[in-house]
Amino acid sequence: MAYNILIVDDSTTTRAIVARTLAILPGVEIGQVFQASNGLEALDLLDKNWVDIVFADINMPVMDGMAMVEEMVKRQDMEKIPVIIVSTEGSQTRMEDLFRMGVRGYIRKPFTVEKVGQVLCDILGGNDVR
Amino acid sequence: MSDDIPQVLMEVASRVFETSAFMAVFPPEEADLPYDNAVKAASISFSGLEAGRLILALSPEILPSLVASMLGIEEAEDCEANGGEDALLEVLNIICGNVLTEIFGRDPIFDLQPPTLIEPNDAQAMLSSLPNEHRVAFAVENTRAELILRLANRPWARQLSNDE
Repeated sequence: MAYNILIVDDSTTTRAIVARTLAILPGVEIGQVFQASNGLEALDLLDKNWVDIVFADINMPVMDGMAMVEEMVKRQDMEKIPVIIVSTEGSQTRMEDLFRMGVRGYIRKPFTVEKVGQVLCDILGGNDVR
Repeated sequence: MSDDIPQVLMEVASRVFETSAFMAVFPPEEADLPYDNAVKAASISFSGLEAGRLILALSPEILPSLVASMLGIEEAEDCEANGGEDALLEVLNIICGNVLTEIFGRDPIFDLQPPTLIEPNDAQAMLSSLPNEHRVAFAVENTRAELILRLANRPWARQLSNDE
């Protein structure tokens, strides 16, 4: 199964790094990769496209990652899409808030390919990631 | 949690450059290098348990290698068109988040503003005017870099804010 991915980050560099990391991750077939620079753009892309997993930053202009997740969980067509936070955020308190809101995974920057693989494996149940 | 801020700045810079860009960072005593012709600097503001700013200054010569290493591409001749400045801003963003956790621990929540570039002329003036407290110089590969942390509740930082 090929997974369609949405990467949400205001840094084009980070979006490119996440996309490249996913492309070289063994055992995961990546389909389309969509990119958005803030939560609002992401919601618009989610409205118009089939997305299997969202990788999102927290601190972004216009709409941040927390507001985006809040909006996603309100909407039936988006509430079950797994969201993985990719952030410099180190606060345990904020991460607990995010997990309570429904976020499924957390990758702290700077990250390694192995860390991305491990978080994806946890979310996909180990079925598709070796 | 650490009170030795220069040590934290150095350790986090090493970790971020090495993990994100596979670039070696050398300690201050090996970094007695001038900036080549100019300096590229960026600043990020944060608020929360403490408010302040973190500034990262680099030699512009390192930016093409930084972009290439971060993105896993051939070194770009025109790094501006290929995100040299965006790479600098992102490295600063990553360093800032990690520095705050190292200094203040994992309980407090900090809000980080989007990092911004400092105009080259302003950067030179700022670097010469800032005090040495909470400031480290280091070498990324063979070029000079500096990190300066300004915490708003420190008297010298308030003085600088008044001067700006």
